[in-house]
Amino acid sequence: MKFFSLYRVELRRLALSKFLWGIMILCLCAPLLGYSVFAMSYSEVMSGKYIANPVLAGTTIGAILWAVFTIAESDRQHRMGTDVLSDAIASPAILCAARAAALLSFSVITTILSSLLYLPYTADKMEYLFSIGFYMGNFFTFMMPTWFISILFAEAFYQITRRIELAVMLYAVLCYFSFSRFAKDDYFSRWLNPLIVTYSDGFPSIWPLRVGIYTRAIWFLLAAGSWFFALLCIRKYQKNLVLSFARGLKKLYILILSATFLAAGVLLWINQPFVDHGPEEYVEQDFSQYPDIIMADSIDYSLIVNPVEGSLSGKVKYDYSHYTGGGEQKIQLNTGYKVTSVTYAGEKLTYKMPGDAVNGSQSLVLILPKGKSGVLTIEYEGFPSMARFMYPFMVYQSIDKEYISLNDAAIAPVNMTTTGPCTARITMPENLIPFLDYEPMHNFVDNHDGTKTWTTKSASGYLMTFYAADYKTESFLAGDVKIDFAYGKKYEDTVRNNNVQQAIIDVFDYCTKHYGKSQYANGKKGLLLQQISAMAMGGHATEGYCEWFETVLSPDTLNDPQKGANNTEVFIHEMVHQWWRSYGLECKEEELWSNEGLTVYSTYRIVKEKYGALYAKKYYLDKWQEDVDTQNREFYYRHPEYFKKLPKKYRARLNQQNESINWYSRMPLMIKRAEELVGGEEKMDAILQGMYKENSLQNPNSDLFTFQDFLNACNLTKEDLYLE
Amino acid sequence: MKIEANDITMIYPSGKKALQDITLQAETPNFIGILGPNGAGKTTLMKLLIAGLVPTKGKILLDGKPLLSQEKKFKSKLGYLAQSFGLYDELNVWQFLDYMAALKGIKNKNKAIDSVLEQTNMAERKKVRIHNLSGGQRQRVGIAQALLGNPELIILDEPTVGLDPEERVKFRNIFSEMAQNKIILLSTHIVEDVQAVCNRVLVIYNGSILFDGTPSDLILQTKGHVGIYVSQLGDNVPEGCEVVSKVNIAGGIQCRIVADKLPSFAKNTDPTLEDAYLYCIKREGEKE
Repeated sequence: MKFFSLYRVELRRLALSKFLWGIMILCLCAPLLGYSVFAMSYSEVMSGKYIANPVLAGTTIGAILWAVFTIAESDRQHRMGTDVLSDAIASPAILCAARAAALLSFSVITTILSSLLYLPYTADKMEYLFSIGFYMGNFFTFMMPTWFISILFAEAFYQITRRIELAVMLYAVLCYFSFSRFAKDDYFSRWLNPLIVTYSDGFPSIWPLRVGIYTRAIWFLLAAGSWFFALLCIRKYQKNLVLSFARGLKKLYILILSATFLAAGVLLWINQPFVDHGPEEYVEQDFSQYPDIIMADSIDYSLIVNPVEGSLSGKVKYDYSHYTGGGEQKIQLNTGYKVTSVTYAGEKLTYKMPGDAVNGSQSLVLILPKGKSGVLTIEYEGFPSMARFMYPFMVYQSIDKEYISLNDAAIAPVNMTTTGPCTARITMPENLIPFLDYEPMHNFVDNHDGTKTWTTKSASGYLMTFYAADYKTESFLAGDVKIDFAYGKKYEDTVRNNNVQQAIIDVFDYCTKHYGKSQYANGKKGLLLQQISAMAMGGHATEGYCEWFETVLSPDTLNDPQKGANNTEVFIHEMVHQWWRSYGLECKEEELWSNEGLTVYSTYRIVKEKYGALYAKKYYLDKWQEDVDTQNREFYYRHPEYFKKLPKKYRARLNQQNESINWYSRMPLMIKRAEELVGGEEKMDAILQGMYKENSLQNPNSDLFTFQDFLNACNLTKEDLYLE
Repeated sequence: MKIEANDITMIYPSGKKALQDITLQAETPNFIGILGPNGAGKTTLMKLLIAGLVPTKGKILLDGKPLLSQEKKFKSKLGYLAQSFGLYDELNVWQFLDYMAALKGIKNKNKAIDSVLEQTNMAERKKVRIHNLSGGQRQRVGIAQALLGNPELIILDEPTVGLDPEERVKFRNIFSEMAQNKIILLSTHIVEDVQAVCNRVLVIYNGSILFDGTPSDLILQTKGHVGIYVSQLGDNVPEGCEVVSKVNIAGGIQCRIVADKLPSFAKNTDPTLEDAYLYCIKREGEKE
């Protein structure tokens, strides 16, 4: 009762503080920096620019401001001597609690004001992509809890040290940790500057919010635990820290609370379900060490998606009716899943899970009994986690009620395959349109409980990729190719207003005219063009399938023709891959040769034809040259002898950087040089057409196309294409 | 209410011994004046009695039970004014008292606040920001918060510092009236205040109680040790004498002195409490 009475008067007292109003006004202004100098998310989607960045800027700057105010306010009581009177009539701990509660309340008020202040502008800029729920969710997932955490830590540090400079120093160290390289790419370490790699505009972005809530919970528990600990250190009877703490220990329940909160925070951190605990780098696995795969007669997958929990439960049946040889099987399953049952021929089968985590999956080892045939059934469930080596830049395992993205072992166990039929039943929310292994699913049963069960028969041995979202689908012909086009419903008007369908047809026309018919011509097989969430990052193409990075259709991109090179033309790039990659002409990856370089060059040519030479020069030729110049200036690139002496981790990073420049900038620039040397664009087109016709994998005799093959086709040498 | 300090000694972490073997008892009603020179240990004693310090040795009891075991109950009965204290400048007088009333857990806050505002003559200034108050007005706000809720025990450390003489008299009368049904401990340098209103006086010197009794007993002890004589400018103070006051008169300077043995030229006179206090301190100082 007394606490609430104190809380009320503390609220009123603080409300009259000009310092507090100053802090609140600065907190309200802080998100402005997110629009310009303090862009903290990597995301280029609208919700990244207009929601994540301002919220993160407000969160981080506001948290520091609240900490400064908290420490100053706590110290002020002591410095001004108001505590002389107040401590004589009330417990300093209760006073401290009431003050903290009042500060937290003001931070809530500021969060609400901040969210309301930027609402009209954000809604106006994001247009049809704006979602009020998602917008508010960001403020209350990141801003408010981070301010809570900051206030509690600041108060804790002050009460422990009772010295303003020491408290500020401790707080600064904690801030430094959050900004340090140790925390740079780690969702869980960044308490002050939450990590939002990207959002999606057209599809739900529940995963980053889930991680956000989880990390805020971890740090809130740690901050609250520290704060309770600090309550024990509050100086009483003019005693020093140690003696005050010793006296404070008499209130054992506070110590228990502190320990409980701290332990809960640590446990949450250790047991976070989002990312596995495998190696940070991709591990080349030696599958020759694995036992031989025992082919099943058929495989039957039955998966149930729980969008509320973000979990999946699955049952896979491998039919070994004609196999009695027995033997060990080592199966890979996503690290987030727990195997609940394994049976063979109707009997329980013992299995081992060594707890290894490599590249996002863990092993399940079982031994099929010799001399016995039957059906092997594996049941599993859990929250799919992501591989640490891919983390945090790609959210490719995600389940929620409006978007599902599952890959590899996150769908079902891999390594076990079949030569026979492979059936799959997937039960999920009724509003979602599913795509399994890059193909639309067509058959479903309505369960009349808000879910549908989709079924498919696949020729492939095991399931690789599963997407489901609230898609809008269209089918049309681009030349002879049947296109299935799936995109987020939010983009429906954009697709129609910007004549995207015609743009796709134009690209197909260009490539067919310059290089030859695509593998999809003549009605052999259609092509699925699928818009995927920006959270999955980048674009991907494979046989009969081409995915688009989400921003291709965003208002920012489509309203700004100057921005094409990195966004709008991504869809051209990905479609061109239908010629320069699998089932087209497939290049052998070498240091200076890959499918990417050819595709980038062709994209440049299409863009040049569509937007003019000036545009193409600015956004392609000049950019390539700039990248190459930068690389040429790079010390370790010029001095490989020193490069070799670098630690493995740095070498890997530089290798990745060089590979990207080699394939996406140096190689297309070399093709451009070749184009000049062979006599111009028409000659080069003729060479490429010849290469495509003779070497595409439609021709079963063709091998992977090498750099030397290209040089031979152009009648040039490597030295001719050397770039200074 | 009964508060007892049994054989308490207070040594600060710096090693300074502030109080030694102090024993005292006080029961309702009681108005105790605490006198002593600077550094004698008055403030330390008060802090011990408000549970702001824990004695190095000895016990403080409230109604027979250890004070620290019933701190919450004790604080709800306490009104305290420190020698130096701070107020929240951003609040007005009423808001500050409302804040303190909430700390004290007073139920009928508005009535209690209005009452102390009247008592301290701050009713007209209740809407004035503390930031805009004079030193004396701030002191009155300090007194008002100590009186809030009609506490059973009031401990006042130099409460009338900064007040004009008229206000000082008014306040000591208020304290006197309040002491009818409570314990008031008043630490002050103004002996006249103690003489006027206290029924009991404590003289503290070097951490020890030199005297604990009624003012008249203290005065009685000094009978025959106070004298007056007229001196000229430049005359030395007679050996063994302590000058209490000097007043310029027509024939020179009339000096009032205390001494174990008065000089022959000094005329014996009736002691006041101030004389008695100074004599008490002098005598103790000579022992050392």
